[in-house]
Amino acid sequence: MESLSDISLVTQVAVFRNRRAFDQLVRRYQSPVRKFLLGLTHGNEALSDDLAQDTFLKAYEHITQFRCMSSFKTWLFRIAYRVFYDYKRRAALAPPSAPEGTAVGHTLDTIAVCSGSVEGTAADIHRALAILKDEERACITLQMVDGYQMDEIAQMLSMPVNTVKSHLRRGKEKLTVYLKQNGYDGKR
Amino acid sequence: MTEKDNPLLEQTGIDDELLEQFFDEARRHEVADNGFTQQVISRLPDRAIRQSHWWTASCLLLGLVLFVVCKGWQPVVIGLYYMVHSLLTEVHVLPLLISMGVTTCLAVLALARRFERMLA
Repeated sequence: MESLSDISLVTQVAVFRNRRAFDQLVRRYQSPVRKFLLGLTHGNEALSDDLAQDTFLKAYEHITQFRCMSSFKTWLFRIAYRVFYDYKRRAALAPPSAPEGTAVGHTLDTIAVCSGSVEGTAADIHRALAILKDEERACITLQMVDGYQMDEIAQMLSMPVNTVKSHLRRGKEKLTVYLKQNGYDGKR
Repeated sequence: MTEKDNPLLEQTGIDDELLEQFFDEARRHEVADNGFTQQVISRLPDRAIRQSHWWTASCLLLGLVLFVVCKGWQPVVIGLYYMVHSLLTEVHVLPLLISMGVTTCLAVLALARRFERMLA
């Protein structure tokens, strides 16, 4: 079962609603999806897990709409971003990026406890990502952490490639300044 | 083109090396499942299960109807006849016993693995 490709697992889910096949898909992609949502939610583990669950449930419900034009992972990320976007709109929360790097304390602590050996680094990363706008954070996470190309990111976030490029440039500029100011370049 | 190759972006003060270094740990970090998959599976809608059962039953019924309409038992009977016939006339007892022994061992091993996984 583990050796089955995504396509055959998706087919089994789409045609027979095979739960075991879907279980395999969730196990395979839970880590990247949760990591992506953790980045978007400033390391808020409970929230990102809820959103990740909604992502997989939506994927299950709409799996017949997967057209194999992109990889299953790319399709999942697109759903994850929409789920996050809908959540923000629905909850009408103040944008997390508004405090510009503050008010993420307890969520960062949570992630620090949960992530074992990388606890400090995870907290540092979420703290740094908190200075960015949502779109910048999504673009930066997808490129720097998940290694996606600009056109794939554009596809996932439903944005023109040039917009993605701008978000990446602005995000990287802000992060470079932040990291240098906080001594990550080893000069402090 | 990467931003390193683009002098315009370099002027803006992006330190690619620093960023790569900073995100290196995050790239390698994997989030442990910790029951997440189980939670997702337990939240799957029931409608889908009913639909799945309906599909399975329909396919089974269709298969049975086709089996009867196309006289699917004929090749089965012929195949069984030849199998029994060749068993009685052509197969030597020793290789048959050896292959049965090997097959039994493999089946026992597979069962043991399945139990192991169930217990884990």
